[in-house]
Amino acid sequence: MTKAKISRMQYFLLIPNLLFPKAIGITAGVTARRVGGDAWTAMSIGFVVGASILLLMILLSSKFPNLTLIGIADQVLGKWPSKLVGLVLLIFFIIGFAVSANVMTLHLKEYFLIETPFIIICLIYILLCMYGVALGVENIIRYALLGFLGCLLINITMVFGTINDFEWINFLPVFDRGLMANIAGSIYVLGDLALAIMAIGMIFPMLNDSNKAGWLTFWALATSAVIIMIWPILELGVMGAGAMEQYVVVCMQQIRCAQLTRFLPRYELIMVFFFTFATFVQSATLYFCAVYSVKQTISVKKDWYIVVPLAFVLLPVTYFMARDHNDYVNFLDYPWSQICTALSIGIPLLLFIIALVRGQLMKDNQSAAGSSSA
Amino acid sequence: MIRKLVASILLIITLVIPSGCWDMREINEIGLVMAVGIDKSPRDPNLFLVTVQVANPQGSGSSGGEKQKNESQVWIANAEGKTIFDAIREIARFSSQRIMWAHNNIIVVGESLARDDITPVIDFFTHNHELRMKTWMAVTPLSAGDVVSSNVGMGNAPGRSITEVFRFQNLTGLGLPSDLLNVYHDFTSENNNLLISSLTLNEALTQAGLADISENIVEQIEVSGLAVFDKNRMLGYLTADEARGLSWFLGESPNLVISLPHPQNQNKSVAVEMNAVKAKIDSRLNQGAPEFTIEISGSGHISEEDTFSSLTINEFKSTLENLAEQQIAAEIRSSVSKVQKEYRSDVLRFGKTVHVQHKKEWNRDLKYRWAEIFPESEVEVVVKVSIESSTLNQVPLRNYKELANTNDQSQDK
Repeated sequence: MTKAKISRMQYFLLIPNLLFPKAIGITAGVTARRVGGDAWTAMSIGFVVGASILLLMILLSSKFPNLTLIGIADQVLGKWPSKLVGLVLLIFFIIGFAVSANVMTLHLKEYFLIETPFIIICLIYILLCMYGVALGVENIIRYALLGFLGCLLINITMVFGTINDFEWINFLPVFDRGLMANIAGSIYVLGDLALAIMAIGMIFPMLNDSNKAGWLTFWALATSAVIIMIWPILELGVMGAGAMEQYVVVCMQQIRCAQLTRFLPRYELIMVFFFTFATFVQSATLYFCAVYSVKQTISVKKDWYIVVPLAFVLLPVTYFMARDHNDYVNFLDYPWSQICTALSIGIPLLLFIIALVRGQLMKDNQSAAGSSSA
Repeated sequence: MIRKLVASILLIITLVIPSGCWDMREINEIGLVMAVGIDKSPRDPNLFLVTVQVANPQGSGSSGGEKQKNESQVWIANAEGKTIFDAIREIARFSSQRIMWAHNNIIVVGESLARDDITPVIDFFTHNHELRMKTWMAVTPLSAGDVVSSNVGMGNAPGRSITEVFRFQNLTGLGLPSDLLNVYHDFTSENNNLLISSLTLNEALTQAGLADISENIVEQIEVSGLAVFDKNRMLGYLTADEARGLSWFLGESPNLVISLPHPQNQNKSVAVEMNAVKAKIDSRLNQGAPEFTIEISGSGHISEEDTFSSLTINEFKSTLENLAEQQIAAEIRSSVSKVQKEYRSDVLRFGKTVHVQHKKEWNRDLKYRWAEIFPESEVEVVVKVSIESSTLNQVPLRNYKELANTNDQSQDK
C-alpha cells in the first residue's frame, strides 16, 4: 500500500471524484434551506474559499513532498502532537466515509430499493469499498476515470433533460438574503471540500511527479467547479428554491424532473449508474485514508489488521448516521459542516504557519521521509 | 494468497446478497396506473375518494380477435381512505396487481377537494418516489373519478390521450401546461400562486358512418380554462377565453391563432397564426405603488383569408398588425383584470417581478402588504406584432373574375 504511486492524470481526475457525489447530492438542499434562492451564490463562495484552502494544502504538501499530513505534523509539531493529528484525521475520515457512503445508500434506499433493509445496503456498499481498499489505492483511483466520465454523462443527460423547464427568474434577485447570509451558507460546501483537502493531504506523496502540482490542482478544481456548480444552478432554475429546500437528495429530485424527449421520459437508474463510480471513488478513498491514518499513527504494518476491523466500525457509523435521513441531514447541517470547516482550514493553516515560523518551508524537505512517510 | 481468498469470499457474498432483491417486482404483477382522480368522498367529506385507471395489456393487443375486442383497455377502480395513501392501499385489497405510479400520465383533482385544500394531493405525489414530476395535473368541475373513468381520445389508453390533449395546449392557449413540476414550483414559491388547467367532458361524435349516430356520441375530454388558487385553496375558474389572455405571457411560446376582422369586410375574418411570441413583465414604483407593463412581441403569418381583398400586401399586413395588437392587448387586459379584481390572487408572477426588480422595497415593505397591493396595481399592456408573411401567397386573395370583368368593361368603354 505504501509504495503505491498515482499518475498526474489520475490525480487530476481524483479531485472531481472527491467532490462531486456529495456536493450535488445533498449539499445543494442543505444550502437552499439556509439561504433559499441564493444557494448557488453561497455554494460558489464556499467553493472559492475551499479551493483556496486546498491550494494552501498543496503548497504545504509540495514543501514536504514525501510526507502525508500526519508526516508533516510529525516534522512540524513533533511526535505526540502528530499522533493527535492522526487520531483526529482517523475520526474525520471514518465520519467522512459514512457521510459519503450515505450519499449512495440514501439514493438507493429512497428511490430504488425502498423495501430493502437499510443495513443490507450499508453492508454491501462497505464490503465493496473494503474490496477496493484491499486492492490498493491506485486501483481505486483508476476508477476515477470512469467516475469522471460518469460525472460528464450524468451532467449531459441532466442538462438535456431539464433545460426546457429552466427559468432564469428563479435566480433572481441575486444575493437576496445579503452577502453575510451567503458567506454563512457557504460553509456547507466547505464540508465537501474538507473531504478533498484532507484526502489530498494523505494521498499527495503518492503522486509520481509533483512538479507544478499547484497548477494541476487548480485546473482540477476549476473542472470540478464547472461540473458541480451546474447542479445547484439547474436545480434552482428548474425546481426553484422552495422545492429544493424540501428534499434530502435534491439531485434525485432534479432527475425526477428530467425527460429526454417523450421517448425517454425517465432515466433515473441510468443516471445513478453514471453517478456510482464517482461515489465509489470518494467513499473508497476516504476508507483508504482512514486505514492510512491508523497505520501512520500506530505504526501497524499489515494492512489487513486495519482494513477488516475498520469495516466493523464503519458499518454501525454509516448505518446509524442515516438510518433516519432527517438525522443525517441535520448532522450535515450542524455540527459536521462546522467541524469540517474548522479542521480543513485549521490543520493546514496551523501546520503552514508553524512550518513558516520555524523556517521549514525554506528548507529542502525532499529527504524528510521518516517512519510516517509515504 | 489469503488476500485473494478473502477477496473471493467477499465477492461471492456480494453476489449472493443482491440476487434476492427485496424490491423485485415482476412485470406481470404490476398494474401500471395511466391516470388518477382524487375527490372528496360524497359519503363523508373527510375521506378521499381515489379513482385509478390502470392499463390492461390483455385488452390492448394489436392482434384483434373477438375476445380482445370485448375487453377494456383499462381497468378502473376506486376506494376511499382517510388519506390518499390509505385509499390507494384500499385498492390493493381487490386489485390482482400491485399499483405502480411510474407511468402515470395525469392527476385529476375534483373541484370540491381543490376548493377545500389541494395540499394533500401535491404532497402525496411529490412525496411518491415512483411518480415523475412531469406528470400532468388538472382540476375538474366534475367528479375527478368521472373524468378518469371516461373513455376518451383517439389513442388506445385514455390516460395517454389526455396527455396528448395537454401536450398540444400551446396551439389553443385555453389552458397552461400545468405539470407537477410547475405546480410544485409555484406551490413552494414565496411569490406565486397556483394556476392549474381545468378539464371537462363534452359530447363528441366518434366512429362516423354508423347507422345510429346517437350510439356514437361519447364524452370527450377538453381543456376548459384554468383554476385559480390562493395559496392552497381554489378560488374559481378562468374560462377558456380568459385563460387564452394569460397564455400570451405565461404560456410557453404560445402558437395561438387569432381571428381578425377582414380589413375590407367586417363580417369576414382573417386568421393569423402567431409564433415566436415573447413576453416580458416590467415593474416600476410610482410613489411606492408598483405599476406593471406587460410587453408582448411576436411575429405572425396570415393563414386564412375568408374573402377577397384589393389591398396591396403591405397595406394588408399593416392593417392586420394593428388589429392583432389591439385584439391581443384586449384579451390580456380582460384576463388580468379578472384575476386582479375578482380573484385578487397573484397568479401572474407580478410579486416575483417586483421582488426581482425592487428587492429592497419588496423585502422591506411590499411583500407584507402584497395581498392588498396586487389587486390595485396599474397594468399597461404593450403589444408589438409583425406579420412576416402571408403563408405561401404573394398577394392577398384576389377576386380575379371581378378584376377580369372590370378590365373587360374598361376595354369595352
